[in-house]
Amino acid sequence: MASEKPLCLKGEKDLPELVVSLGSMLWHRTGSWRYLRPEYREKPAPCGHACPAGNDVEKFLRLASEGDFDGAWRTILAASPLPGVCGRVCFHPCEKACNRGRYDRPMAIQAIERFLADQASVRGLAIEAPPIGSSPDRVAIIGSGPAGLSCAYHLRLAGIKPVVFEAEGALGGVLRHGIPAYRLPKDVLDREIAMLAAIGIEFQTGRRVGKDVPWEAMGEYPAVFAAAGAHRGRRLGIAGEDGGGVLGGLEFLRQVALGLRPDIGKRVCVIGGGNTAIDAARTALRLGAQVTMVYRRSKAEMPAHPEEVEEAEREGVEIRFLLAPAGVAREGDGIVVEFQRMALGDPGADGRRTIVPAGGRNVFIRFDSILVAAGEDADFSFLPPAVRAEKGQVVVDEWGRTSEPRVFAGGDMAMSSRTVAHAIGSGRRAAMAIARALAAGGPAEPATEAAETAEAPPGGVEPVPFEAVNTAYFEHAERCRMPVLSMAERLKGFAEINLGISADAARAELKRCFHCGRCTACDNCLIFCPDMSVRRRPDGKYEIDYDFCKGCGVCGQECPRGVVEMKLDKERRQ
Amino acid sequence: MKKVIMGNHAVSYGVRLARAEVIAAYPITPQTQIVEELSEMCSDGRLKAKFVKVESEHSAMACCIGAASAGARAFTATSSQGLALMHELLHWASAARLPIVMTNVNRALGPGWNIWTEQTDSLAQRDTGWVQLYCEDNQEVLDSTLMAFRVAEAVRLPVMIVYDAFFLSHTYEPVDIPSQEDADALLPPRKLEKGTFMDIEDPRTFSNMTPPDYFMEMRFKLERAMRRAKDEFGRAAGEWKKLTGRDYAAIETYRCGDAETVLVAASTAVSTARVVVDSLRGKGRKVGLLKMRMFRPFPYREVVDVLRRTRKVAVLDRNISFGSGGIFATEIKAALSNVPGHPPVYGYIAGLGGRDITPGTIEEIFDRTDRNGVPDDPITWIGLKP
Repeated sequence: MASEKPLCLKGEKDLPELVVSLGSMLWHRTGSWRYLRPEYREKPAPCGHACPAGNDVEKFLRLASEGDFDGAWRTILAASPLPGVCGRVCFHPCEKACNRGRYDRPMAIQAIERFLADQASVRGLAIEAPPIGSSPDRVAIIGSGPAGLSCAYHLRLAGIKPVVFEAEGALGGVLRHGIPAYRLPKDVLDREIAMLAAIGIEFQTGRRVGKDVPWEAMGEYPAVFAAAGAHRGRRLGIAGEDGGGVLGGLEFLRQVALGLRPDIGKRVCVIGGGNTAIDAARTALRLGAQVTMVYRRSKAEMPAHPEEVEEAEREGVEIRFLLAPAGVAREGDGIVVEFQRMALGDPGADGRRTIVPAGGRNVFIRFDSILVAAGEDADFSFLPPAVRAEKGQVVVDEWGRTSEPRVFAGGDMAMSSRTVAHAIGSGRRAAMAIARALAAGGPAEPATEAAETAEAPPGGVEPVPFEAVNTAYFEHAERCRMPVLSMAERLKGFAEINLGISADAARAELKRCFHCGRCTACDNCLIFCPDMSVRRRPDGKYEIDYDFCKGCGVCGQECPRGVVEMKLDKERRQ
Repeated sequence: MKKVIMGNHAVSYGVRLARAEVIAAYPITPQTQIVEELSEMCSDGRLKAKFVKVESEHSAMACCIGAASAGARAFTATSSQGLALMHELLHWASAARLPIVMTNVNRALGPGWNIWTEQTDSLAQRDTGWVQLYCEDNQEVLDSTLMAFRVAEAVRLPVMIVYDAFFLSHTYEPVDIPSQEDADALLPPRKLEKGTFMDIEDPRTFSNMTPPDYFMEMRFKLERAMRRAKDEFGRAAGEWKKLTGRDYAAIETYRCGDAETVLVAASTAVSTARVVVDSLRGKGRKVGLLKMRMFRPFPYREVVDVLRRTRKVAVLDRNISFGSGGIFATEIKAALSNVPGHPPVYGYIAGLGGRDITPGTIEEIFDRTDRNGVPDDPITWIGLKP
């Protein structure tokens, strides 16, 4: 079987001059051939390892590939209550990490997650939660975005009664008010929130903590999870910014989500290069505007997800680079924005290239309105001063613990990676910490149990690298394509662009998975071992008889998915 | 101190001066006196070595492999059928990177039984990873034995010293026996690096399983060591010249400067050829002689540098690879094959099974080479009775 799968020593320079073990072999009772030892151990797949929400991706793909769609859906639910949401809006770091991406194209994990969530909905499946006691612990959750929903869900699974305070009139936070419906239809969000309400999570809408509800009212709860998001649009700090015709990008999205139709005119300028800017631009297009995005740096530095940028351009958004807004003036009905020409400078602290003035005359462009999407800040004025914040974020540890013992925080207000999946993960970890704290009756000290959590993969070892996969066992196969709405249909309104894959397409896609690091009991190691040193365990998997293994490496070579790996035998000296 | 001794005893003296620690050998004509003398030396205390009597040459080499693996300076000697019997272990010794030194007295392989000289036995082992040095006289036999240990231990490869049965093995010549001091200066005690020998304080296993992922790399290292052996031989020879005034190199040339026909030869035939070259030069013939001392590693650069300048190359082989030709001739052709406009190579086979190679034999080779065009047949038999 042709394969490039390497053993553990890389090249000639790693090898001794003569054939000799690298250490004592006294422990080895039979034979003396071996200095490499096969190690049979299941390992995390890179997909799940990369998931900020802690999804066991390989497992749900495996169950789904066996036809157990419900089991697959429930596997996702073990980590995240929002598979319908993530299946649509997550930036799928799992797919970036997928080993298959180095063979042909990565598994379409997001499409499958969405398929599983949608089919569960069609079949009317419900979340199974344990019964709740007569006087359960109650925990306050501030904000019903992905972090708050995730925390509430995991607390509820732990038998705790969560009470969610939402400032707006409808639930979902940024999922409802920030993400446009063409990416995440409201009924999908409603459906998943309804499942959460059905298991006894209490939601109070229109109740802004610090305004409608005083912070002191939180005192009746033994723990509080603050996840109010980051909604305050950053200002540009230029002359004329405060007049009419200038609207924050996120505020614009919120108004559209609420069904308002803000008057933005025909020619709209979106300032910024992040995901909010893209969402604002594409939303403005759907309101019939002609949209020009202006970004200070170049395309390579754009923080927006490249797929989103590409879609925006395909839909007709014009993007102009290396122009920094310098002033806003009003002329007649319109607005004239003055831009300074910029050039790329040296890389900054984040690795992206900075900009410097390029010289030359400033550019003046006439618009009807400007949407400013230069980043968002969190507003944590409702939190007491004892909860420490730095650089615009509440300071938390990996368990969401703040400087106040009872107060936990997560989501966009407490982390720099502002994605839905990160928010879900933060809510889940905080729920674990809160549950443990309440069970112990004292401050949470969960770090010692880190090994069992979403953050530490099963086995506590590195995920399987591509090199450990024997690709000779996998045929090239085309990745499923996501059916999409035609361009003409898209711009008519806010209908969802991605239409979801069929069950047949999902089944075909599921066959592509390598199942990295997961023993599928394929028997290769057992069959190929020339010395009958691989034995079947009672559970159908394998063990290695080191008394007879010669260390030839055939089992490691022929393991399709990196479960059997060759290690230097000297490691056994200890 | 000069002594008149037979070639075989020159080896024994060399091994004593090298302070070999383990000698394992099985007697075979024409090698017998080597180990006979060594056993005497061990028994009367002149050599502090363990002399191991074995039941076969295979065991002799196995014993040397064990001794060398444990860090000892090990020696054996054999000939012909004995060498052939060792074949498997010859590969083992080199791939295990053991600095064993062995003398092989060239003798024809039977049947029919023949105890006289022929190079086919040692040349048949050319691919076993052993350094091979061919000697012309008894002094060279002794000096080469010392240098062999030096090269072997420097590059961790076994070395075979080769010379003709009877023409050297049993022929008495005056030989300068080097002082122990000079021998020690050339050959310090074997250096034992951690992890390269069997050490009860640092137990390891040797010659383990080497899967396809690593095997080529290990062979690459062996080949690289083989190439270093040539340089190391040069260094050892340089030091030996300073100590004794005697000069050795991978190849030697004799009157090749303006030669139009150069004869390539090895072993005692070289001495005879030298006389013939002088005689033909006296008659105005532009002939020269290239002596092959080192056969493995093959000194490509040196050989090509000499032969590319000449018009014709004749190779005298006292050996045969059946179905191909003389083994030296084959290698010389290979060495020249990528040299643009290289001279033609004439392959001659003579002296098989100990038949004399006389001045007349060599003169006939020069005559045929000068007179004839390039032969179609890779073999021209000399002295074959019609």
